[in-house]
Amino acid sequence: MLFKIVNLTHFFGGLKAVDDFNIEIGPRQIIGLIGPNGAGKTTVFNLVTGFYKPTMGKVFFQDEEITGLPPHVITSKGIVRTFQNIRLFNNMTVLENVTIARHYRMQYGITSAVGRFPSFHREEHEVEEKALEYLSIFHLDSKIHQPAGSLPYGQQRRLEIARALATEPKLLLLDEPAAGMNNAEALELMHLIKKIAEEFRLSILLIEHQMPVVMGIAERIHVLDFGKTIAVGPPEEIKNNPKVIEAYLGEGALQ
Amino acid sequence: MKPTTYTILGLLAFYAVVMVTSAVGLMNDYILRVINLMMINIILGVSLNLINGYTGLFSVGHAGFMIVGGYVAGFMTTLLFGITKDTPYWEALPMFLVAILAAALVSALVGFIIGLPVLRLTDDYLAIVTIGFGEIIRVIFNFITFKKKVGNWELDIGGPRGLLGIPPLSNFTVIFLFTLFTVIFIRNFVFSRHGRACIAIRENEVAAHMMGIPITRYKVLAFVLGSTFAGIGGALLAHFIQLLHPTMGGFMKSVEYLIIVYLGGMGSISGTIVAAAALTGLSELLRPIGELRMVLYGALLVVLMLKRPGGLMGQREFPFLLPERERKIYALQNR
Amino acid sequence: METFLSQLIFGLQRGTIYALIALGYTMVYGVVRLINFAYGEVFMIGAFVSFFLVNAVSLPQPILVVLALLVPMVTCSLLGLAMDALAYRPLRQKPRLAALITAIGVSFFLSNFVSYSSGETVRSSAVASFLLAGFLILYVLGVKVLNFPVKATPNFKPIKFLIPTVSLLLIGYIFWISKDLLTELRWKGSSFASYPVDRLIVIEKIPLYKSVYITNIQIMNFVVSVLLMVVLSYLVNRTMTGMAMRASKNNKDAVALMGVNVNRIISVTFIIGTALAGAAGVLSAITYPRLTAFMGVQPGLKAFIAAVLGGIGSIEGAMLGGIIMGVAEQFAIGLLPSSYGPSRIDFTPLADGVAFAILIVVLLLRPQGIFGEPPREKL
Ligand SMILES: Nc1ncnc2c1ncn2[C@@H]1O[C@H](COP(=O)(O)OP(=O)(O)O)[C@@H](O)[C@H]1O
Ligand SMILES: [Mg+2]
Repeated sequence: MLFKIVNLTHFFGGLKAVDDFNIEIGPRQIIGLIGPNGAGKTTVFNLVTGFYKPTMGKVFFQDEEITGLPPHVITSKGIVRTFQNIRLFNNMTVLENVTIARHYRMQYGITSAVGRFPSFHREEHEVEEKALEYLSIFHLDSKIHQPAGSLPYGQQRRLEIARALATEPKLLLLDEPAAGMNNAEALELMHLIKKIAEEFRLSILLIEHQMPVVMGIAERIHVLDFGKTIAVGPPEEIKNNPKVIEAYLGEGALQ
Repeated sequence: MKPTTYTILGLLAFYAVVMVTSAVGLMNDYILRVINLMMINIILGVSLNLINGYTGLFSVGHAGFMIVGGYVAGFMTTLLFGITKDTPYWEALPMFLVAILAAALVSALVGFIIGLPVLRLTDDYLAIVTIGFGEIIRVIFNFITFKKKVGNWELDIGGPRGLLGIPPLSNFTVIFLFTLFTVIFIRNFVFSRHGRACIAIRENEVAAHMMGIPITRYKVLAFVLGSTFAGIGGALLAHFIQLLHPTMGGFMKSVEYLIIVYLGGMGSISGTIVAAAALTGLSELLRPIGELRMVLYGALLVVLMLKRPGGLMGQREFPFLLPERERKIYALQNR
Repeated sequence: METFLSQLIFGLQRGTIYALIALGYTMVYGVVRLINFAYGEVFMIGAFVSFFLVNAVSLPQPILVVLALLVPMVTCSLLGLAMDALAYRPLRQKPRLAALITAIGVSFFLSNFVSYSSGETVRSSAVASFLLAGFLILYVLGVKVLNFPVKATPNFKPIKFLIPTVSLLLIGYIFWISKDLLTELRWKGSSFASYPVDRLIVIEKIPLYKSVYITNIQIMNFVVSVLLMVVLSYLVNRTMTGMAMRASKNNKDAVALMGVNVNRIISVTFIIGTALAGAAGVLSAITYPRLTAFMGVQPGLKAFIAAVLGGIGSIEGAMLGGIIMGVAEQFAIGLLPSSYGPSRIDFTPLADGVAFAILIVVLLLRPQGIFGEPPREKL
């Protein structure tokens, strides 16, 4: 098993934001995580990637326990995520945003940097080539020297995924990558995600708020409501599950 | 000719002009003094910019680190090595360099001891701890006194009167070379994977952490490097103005360095150089109005943040200060 | 035992002063997450306003005592309002660093302004304040001055100009009464002023236990601080504004959604905090009558550390932290060898380091302080 979460539970003060969450993800699987707003989906990501320490439960990756490790260590193990609200380095160029992701794979030290030793030039050259590869997959290679913050919204979303991919993860966690896109854009993005999953032999855990979007690519879907898992199964089953429909209706009634 | 060649030629020309004019007596002593002070302030400004500008931290104690370096180097040259005004320069110089190195190391160590516990916490705490540090340094140096034999007299030095009789070992050449070293060091650092990591932390700490950057380590690194160069600047300053006073490490002095950084632009070496030179020159011109200068500085800081938070240069650099690759990108961006 | 008790009394007195300043830090930090570095300067200005007032007017003693405390408090809260409106409010949506830098600038400006002041500059400042106030009055009355057009916007409310006008008049008045005094005292900001304590109160020592005594100044100090803290607790816990203030600490957006004017809450917080700092300045001046333009730097810093110790954002924390800080410092002064002792070296200045040592220990062991909640998670 590539990735496993066992009995994950997290409290914010008195609020049980995640309640006994379990999941297993094998190599090259795309799994969906859905649920109404405030269900605890993002919190699961924050727990897995080390931003919060879980109240209870364990996280395993490649048969090693990784619970509570700091984010940069999690990244180096091979798990990386994107953020629901875009978090780019706005004043850095598009290219620099992606080279940052290669930081922990680079070797040269401070002396080489300050003395501009051959290793500096070699690695900087390599990282640029590599970054350009990722950017061209996402059709961003014409904008490499623009500040990331100046890109239109859709391109910022794609840059965030490109940046995450550039860390060469084995498991990619995507938090509502299609948020704020119209249906056509969202579907196009889903095709792209499917394509890169195959190309890079990735496993993906995908949070998506809009059900139809995730139905198309996930082989299995977990549904959260108020922190609890209310359903697990293939998309067709989830689509017709009365509990799921109720949870989403409940939200609809609220809006 | 490559563009870098022009930069080197320009620097050589500047050095030659100053040296030749002072050799033939054309250079006014006062102007030379101001030029030297400008360069020392460039060292302090650029090193503070690494901390506050590039990494987005908020150190308000740069003068504290400066004076630690100054006192360490001053103690060493006067007490340990017994250098006086009459020691031949070539004999004193190696000892002076050792003293500068020691100053750098001690400042780095102090920076590390302060930075490590504090930089794990929210950013606000660094501000308060560094202000506190500046004040405590003042208390400590006020307190340290000792006796020194000069000829047949035993003098009390140190304490509230400050450290007097430091030999004038910082000349134009020494200061020029150290300024050059500092600017090149920090520029090369900033335009490398390490500098990118610092900037990424400033831009978005959470995302930087997720991209595999050990954020606390880089914050401490930037803070320690900045403090190290502050120590070097302090050692040079001490041996230039030939005296040190405990109050020079306090809040007031630190604010002057903050103004250099924020006037020049957070994250712009070029801006810092311009601002350091301009403010040094300006404070010489404003000397007649005395303390009003400080009132204006306070107001300047507020107005700057309200009206032009990017400072003079924002995050831009003069092309001639950029490394080759960045200069090409600059040309592409500004086509 | 006896030394212990006397030191305790002195320590408590020191502590209440720190606590009063710390309250301002903690309240503003709780609501806007800003360290207003300028509280030390507000403290200093409180002391000076009282100094000028007591020197300038002659009134029966009890009235003078009350005025010597109240006028600085009012002046300081106007200063706090002005600070917030001019320097901090425009930056509220900007990165927090900008406001922090501004706070440093304000603090630097105020201390150096006082340091620079002399009879001459103060008179010009008084004239400027009066002119500005006059201009505002004419503006409200609809008179065209210097071709400056009067905007007849529909929501134009003359009442909005009342506070700035009154504050300008008050500040101008204080400048005006202090100008002759400054000239008379040949005041230069860089020197120091002696607070005329004997005009307010004649020091009496009241024996408590063997050689332990308490002075009437200390009693006054305790009474005033306790009174102020009780009033504060009432304001914060029992009034609508206070409740909104406490709610803003947790979620400003939610409070705004409920139709509360958050800017007004912040202004009130500034008013209260600066008034307390002003009162602390007066109390401190009566106990330690030596006033300088930079007298606020150290207490400001220490009070902030006290707020951190108590748990920044927590009102009880600020009170307790201030007291602990004052007592700890006083004991350090008592315990360190002084120049009268056998060592002949005066170690007491090192007591200034106690605050810093406390800060480091707190940050290492319990960064959220005594009453603080653990830091909110970042995402
Ligand atoms: N840092 C936090 N502190 C307190 N409560 C939080 C925090 N983050 C999330 N929550 C709460 O936890 C619940 C789950 O939130 P989240 O995981 O963001 O939901 P989702 O991503 O499914 O929309 C919500 O009720 C939210 O208000
Ligand atoms: Mg979410």
